[in-house]
Amino acid sequence: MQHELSHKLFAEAQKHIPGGVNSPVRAFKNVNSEPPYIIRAKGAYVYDADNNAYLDYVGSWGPAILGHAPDEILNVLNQNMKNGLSFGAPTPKEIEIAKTVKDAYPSMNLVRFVNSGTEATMSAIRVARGYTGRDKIIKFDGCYHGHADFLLVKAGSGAATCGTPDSKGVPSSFTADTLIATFNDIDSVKKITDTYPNEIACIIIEPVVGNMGCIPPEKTSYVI
Amino acid sequence: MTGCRVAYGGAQELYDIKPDMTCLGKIIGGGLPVGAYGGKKEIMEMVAPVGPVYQAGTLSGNPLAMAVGLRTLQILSDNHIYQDLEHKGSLLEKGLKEVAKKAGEPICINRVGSMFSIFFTDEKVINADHARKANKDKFIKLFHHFLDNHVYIAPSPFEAGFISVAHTLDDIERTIHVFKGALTK
Ligand SMILES: Cc1ncc(COP(=O)(O)O)c(C=O)c1O
Repeated sequence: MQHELSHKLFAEAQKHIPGGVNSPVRAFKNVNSEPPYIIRAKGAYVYDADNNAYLDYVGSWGPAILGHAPDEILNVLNQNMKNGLSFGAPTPKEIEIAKTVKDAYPSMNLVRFVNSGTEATMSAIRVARGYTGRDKIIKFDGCYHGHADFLLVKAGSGAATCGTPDSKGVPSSFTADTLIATFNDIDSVKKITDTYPNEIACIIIEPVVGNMGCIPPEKTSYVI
Repeated sequence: MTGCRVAYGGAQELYDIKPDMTCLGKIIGGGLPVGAYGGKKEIMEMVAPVGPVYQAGTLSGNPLAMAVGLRTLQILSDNHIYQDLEHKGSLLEKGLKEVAKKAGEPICINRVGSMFSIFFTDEKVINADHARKANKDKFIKLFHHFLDNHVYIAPSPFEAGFISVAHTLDDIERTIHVFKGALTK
């Protein structure tokens, strides 16, 4: 298989973008290699700069559950872009999607939209801390919740081999209130809640972990 | 990752849990950048402008992202989709396990619906320590064998694989066949 053009693009990218990529795992360092440059994706397939087709199990790291670029979604995009790209103002569609999310997730009475998973977890924890008046949070070893400073502790995936905090540039004071439990080990959670009985603002969890590989919860751990 | 992935209503639907708060990302944007957080009314009323917790965004609620996310959710609300994904996922899991067994290669395959991972280990992987102990060299070899045979899996042993509605049974078959090639090479 030819990777000539991808190789050239990656060399060029490294002159302009740190490591040549906009998110570390894409650099293929974990597999001692270089990434193919993707120029097109449709259905279950992605196509690279050298015209190789791949059956895709990355799915843009999760979002592409309908396959890539479904016609029905492209039509929606086409219809809506004629009305403008960004308003920075209330728009009716956000009411509709909020209602739809609430129907799917009845535990949510109110929902706020942001631009990434990182923003969602960062904001949710701010709210949990604001609501409880407590600072400490519990997260699980290997769970990744985006790259907010205080969540970069034992954060799985790219950071799987690092210490605490996982990243340089994160002051240890920022992660001091992040307490780490072991996934599928309810006693490790109880130990922390016993040590800090009235200080935990929230427990954040990937209910099925995806960021240390896929790890499902064992039944006994649901009850906290 | 699990939101609208392991079930339309996420892991909380699948496992019948009622969390105080929920974070969503990935699928709810249908490919455009969207995240969301929410929960109980009394908690979420802490958020500005109702309450004292500040949170904002220039592009939050972007009209295109909202439109695409909404239609994606509407399509996914059809339960058949998750049955279909479970079917494909179970076929893939079964096929990979059979191949590994025949090749005498100890592996652990974890899967919930259309989300899965292959670990080269003889123990059940239930936490991060187990995941870290799995054989990385074997994973890297598998990764390259897959890529050379036009199958693209995540370039890291610490990531999950995702099956989509667009994957056909032939695609699943071919994946199992390529996996067989990797183990018998
Ligand atoms: C469980 C989980 N939470 C949060 C994030 C971060 O989301 P984003 O990359 O959109 O900031 C991810 C991304 O991989 C994730 O898998």
